[in-house]
Amino acid sequence: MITIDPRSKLILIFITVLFSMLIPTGTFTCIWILLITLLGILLGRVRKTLRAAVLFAALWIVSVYVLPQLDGTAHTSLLVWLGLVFKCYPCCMLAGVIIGTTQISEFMAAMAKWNVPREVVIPLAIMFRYFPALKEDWGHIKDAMALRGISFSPLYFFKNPSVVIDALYLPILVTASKTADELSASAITRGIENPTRRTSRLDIKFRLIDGAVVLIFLITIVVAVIGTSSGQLMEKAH
Amino acid sequence: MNIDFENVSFSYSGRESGALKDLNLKIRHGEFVLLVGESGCGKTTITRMLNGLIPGFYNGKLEGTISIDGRTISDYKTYELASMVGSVFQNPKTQFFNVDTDSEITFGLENAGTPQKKINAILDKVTEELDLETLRGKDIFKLSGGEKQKIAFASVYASGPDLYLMDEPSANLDSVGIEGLKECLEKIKSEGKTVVIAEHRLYYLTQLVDRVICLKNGRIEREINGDEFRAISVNSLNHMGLRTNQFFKTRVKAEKGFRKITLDEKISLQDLSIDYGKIRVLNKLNHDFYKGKVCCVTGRNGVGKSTLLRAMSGFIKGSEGSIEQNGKTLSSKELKKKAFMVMQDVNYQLFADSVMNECLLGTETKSEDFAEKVLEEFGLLEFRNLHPNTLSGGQKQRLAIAVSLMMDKEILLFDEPTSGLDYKNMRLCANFMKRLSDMNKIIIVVSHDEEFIDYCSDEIYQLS
Repeated sequence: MITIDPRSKLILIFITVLFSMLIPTGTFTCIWILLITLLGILLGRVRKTLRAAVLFAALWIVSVYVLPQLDGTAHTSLLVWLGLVFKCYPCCMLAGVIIGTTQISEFMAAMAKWNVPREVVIPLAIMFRYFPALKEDWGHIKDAMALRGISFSPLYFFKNPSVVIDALYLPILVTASKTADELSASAITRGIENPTRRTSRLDIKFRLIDGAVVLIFLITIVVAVIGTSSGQLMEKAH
Repeated sequence: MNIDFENVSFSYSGRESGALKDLNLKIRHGEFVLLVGESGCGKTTITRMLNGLIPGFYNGKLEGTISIDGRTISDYKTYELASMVGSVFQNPKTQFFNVDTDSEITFGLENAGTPQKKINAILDKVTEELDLETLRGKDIFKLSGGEKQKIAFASVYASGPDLYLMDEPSANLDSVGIEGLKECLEKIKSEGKTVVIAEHRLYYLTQLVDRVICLKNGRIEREINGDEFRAISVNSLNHMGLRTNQFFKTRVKAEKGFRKITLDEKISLQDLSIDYGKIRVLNKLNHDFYKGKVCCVTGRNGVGKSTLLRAMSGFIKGSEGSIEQNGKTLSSKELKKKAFMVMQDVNYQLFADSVMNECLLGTETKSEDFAEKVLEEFGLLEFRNLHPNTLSGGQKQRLAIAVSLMMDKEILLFDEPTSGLDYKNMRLCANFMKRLSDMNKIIIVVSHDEEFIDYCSDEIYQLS
């Protein structure tokens, strides 16, 4: 089990975005997912990380074995869909790992060290905090809809789209604005607007392990860039 | 901390309730002041002025001067007030900013830029003084309401303010949670801190208060000193629209006699057990719920009351046993058709753009005339064209009940219907329970509110 600085995590996200932009989907995508899986497990988020990795593997198998069997529209639409999923998967999975293993206060303190202005950090922090609240709200709203005989099944939605949308829209809007208001009010009374530099109860600093993790990701992306471009050169030569 | 309100008036922009009119109030250092009155009387407004949320966060027209220790409050920045004034709010769900308990307790200190070593020293000290060992390093979302409120208190306590403001801190707590809250309050009182608390439930504060301020429509109607408050009778409190100042527990009502049960129809739990994953939440429950009888389900937080309601609404299936009606097992699909739950936060279940449309949504057979009759019954007819969101808490709740009647539901389930309701609305709610039972509904109410249970229950079903 390791812990790394929230800033290293941001650097990893940045490298992964670069990876998705530069490297075409292929063997390196699998290697990248493997790296993220290892990182997730080392950071202590074992189950959800493994689940995400298994899902990726399943989709990959579909693309290798099922896709070639199809033709026509089914082939094209699955190809496009999978292409999109594989492009986004590394970033989304890493984001999941990072959000799941970073405490809000830790994130805020790290941002303070980078002198990121509060106007940027506070909305981000509130967003972090809002996800679990939304998850809770979502469960209640689903129950409330069921009580009125409104279901979430695709069939019901197809028959009465406006009813489902209305039934989601008002409660989500009302509870979200109430939650946001109460959260902000409580944060203000706790001095979140204080211009003094924020401190943290945790040690927020780069350690050896941060360097090691970032280096591994960097080396892999460099290898991937060289690997794919030399591959392309070889093809051109042929 | 000495507080002085001089001719203070305030009105929120865009709404009438909660306004204050020409308020004059002095609070001495170390005083324990209780603010009481109906919803919308302005008690919350007073607390918001003291923590700087008015006028900074809630807009409106403010007149007069408020001073803290002789200095006008508007001269303070919100973050300066943050270290002097600690606020605990009503809703434990939305007043924490972090997801883990440790970060939450130290959040205020971190904002103020306290050095790391000192933060951790204070964290340990607070843990010891408030007895929080078992709550350290936990996911706040997984705590009970009482535990959340304890963390909220600890996080304020850690910053060491001189003034504590509390806005209905007991609204979502059971009696054990309230007991914990009371201990915290005793502690700060003994430390000589100033406390201003706005509440509907009064019994747990009786021994602590130095002065009770009764507000009505934004004005101070009456001031009662602590000894006078301790001696006052429950009747005269009720007469003033206030709840009891005495701790009391409803008696098990077997001897009181049920109202006559006209039909021998019932819903029965037969050895009902429910598991969440590997954990057994409810174990072999057997109970009969009769038509025309209000049954209150009580028991500590986490004992499975909400789970029982969810099972009776057909959301979750029992892992063993069954729910039967007159000897026939009801499937979860049938339960969904027969049952309706009025949730604790009723905002989740109002979907339509007007009160009338809310009634008609999801009903195919009922006419507008019938809806009018139902709305009249619940005193909502005059609001028929208003947006449900503009109604007060009590009115929203009654609208949800009206919806259940529109849908011909025969089992009505209520989850903490009186949390946050004042005395008047609590009594109204109790009366509606009785009226629903006269309509021969099966009524099952989960509640911690002993006064409410005493007013409306025909039967108490204690889970343990």
